[in-house]
Amino acid sequence: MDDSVLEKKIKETLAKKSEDVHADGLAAWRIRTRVNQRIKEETGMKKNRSWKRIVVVTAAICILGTMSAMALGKVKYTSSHSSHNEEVTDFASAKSMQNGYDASVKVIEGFSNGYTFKRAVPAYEQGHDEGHNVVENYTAMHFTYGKEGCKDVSLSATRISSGVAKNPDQILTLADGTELRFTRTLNKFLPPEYEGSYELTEEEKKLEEAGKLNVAYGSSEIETITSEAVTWQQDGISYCLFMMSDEMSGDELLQMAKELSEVK
Amino acid sequence: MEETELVKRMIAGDEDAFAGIMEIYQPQALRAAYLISGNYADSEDIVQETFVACFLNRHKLREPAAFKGWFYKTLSRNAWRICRKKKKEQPAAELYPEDLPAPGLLLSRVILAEEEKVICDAIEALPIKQRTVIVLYYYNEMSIKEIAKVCGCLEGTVKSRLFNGKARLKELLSDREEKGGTAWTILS
Repeated sequence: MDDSVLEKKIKETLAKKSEDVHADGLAAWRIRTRVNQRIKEETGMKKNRSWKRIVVVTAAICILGTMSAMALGKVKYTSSHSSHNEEVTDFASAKSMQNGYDASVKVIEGFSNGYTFKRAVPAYEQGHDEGHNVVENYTAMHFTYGKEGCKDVSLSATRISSGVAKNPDQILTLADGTELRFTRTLNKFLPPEYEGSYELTEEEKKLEEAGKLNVAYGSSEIETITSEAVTWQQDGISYCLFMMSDEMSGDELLQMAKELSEVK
Repeated sequence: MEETELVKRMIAGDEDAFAGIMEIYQPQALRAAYLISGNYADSEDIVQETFVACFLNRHKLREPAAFKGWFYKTLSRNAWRICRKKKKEQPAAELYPEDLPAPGLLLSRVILAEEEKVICDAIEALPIKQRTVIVLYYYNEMSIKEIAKVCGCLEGTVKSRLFNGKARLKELLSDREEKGGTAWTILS
């Protein structure tokens, strides 16, 4: 059989057979409905990770650090919440809202490495005493910056806690004496039933001693994520530039922090 | 709206753009999945899983213009996975709709159906990766280079699978004739 004849028939036959499939409105609706449902289920599980980010960021800010004189002996831990309903996606609005909460907090629209403003949302932070009473309140915008093909970087600021990283991996000291501290942290998320029973591995114990391990309970599955953060204090405000990934070098994240800290 | 623009917006999380992508890709993807798997129910599952994976992993797509190849790569993987799970594929004969030919055209319609059935059976008898290459080349009209990316193999491998696939088809068709099957007739 001639090759060209065979190829012609293969093509025609496949085209004819494919017409058995009535890719009509009903099939399209069925597939679309199932796809959307699956995505909602998957993203619903992933949205539960937002609490992980808050846990990690809070740990990054505090990291076993000292408390400010104002809060010493009063605030034992902080909690924070945000609502997507209040999210803004233009920088001008975000900046205006931040100025309304605390005009001293430095904000920036973009960085020299290509990261630009994506969205911002008010973060309502509360400081709690030993009796779990709210003793302090603070609100600031939580900024998210994005760059195509890269994980997002988030920026938060607070006046409640003023911890600095105990054992940073890198330190960059600015001309005015401000110390930018870069830390890479291993975050272990465990289901609730592990609380009290999970035993750290030898490696995890070493990381914990160095202040580089953060264990949190409440996830649906065991998960380990490495995060990176640069923390510093300026004018009574504690800043944290954070990403839930280890893809960025310390130098690059420190440079971003430097650019923000030098905003007038 | 241009497809690349829709893909960019989808990557940014725009669900309307994703709906637009589904509308563009669904018909041909469903048919390609059907030709690869040989089973209609599986083809819907394959396409569904592919769209879900593409949306959830959209941040991994660095170049929006490469979406088509990435989409069909995901589709092929899902097809191979789902077909591996199946113990037995639905016979091709059950997939042809019953269709009464119009009076006066009875003879020619039957012969054409028989010819197509022979080729379909022969294609479905091929190993699935060979079958995938045949479908992507002859139905989706993809280039060797594109198919290599979709299948995750070298261009030489694609050519080899095409060559071996056609050789196998010729062999099956010849066997059928020798065993007294319907004479092979090209009517056009």
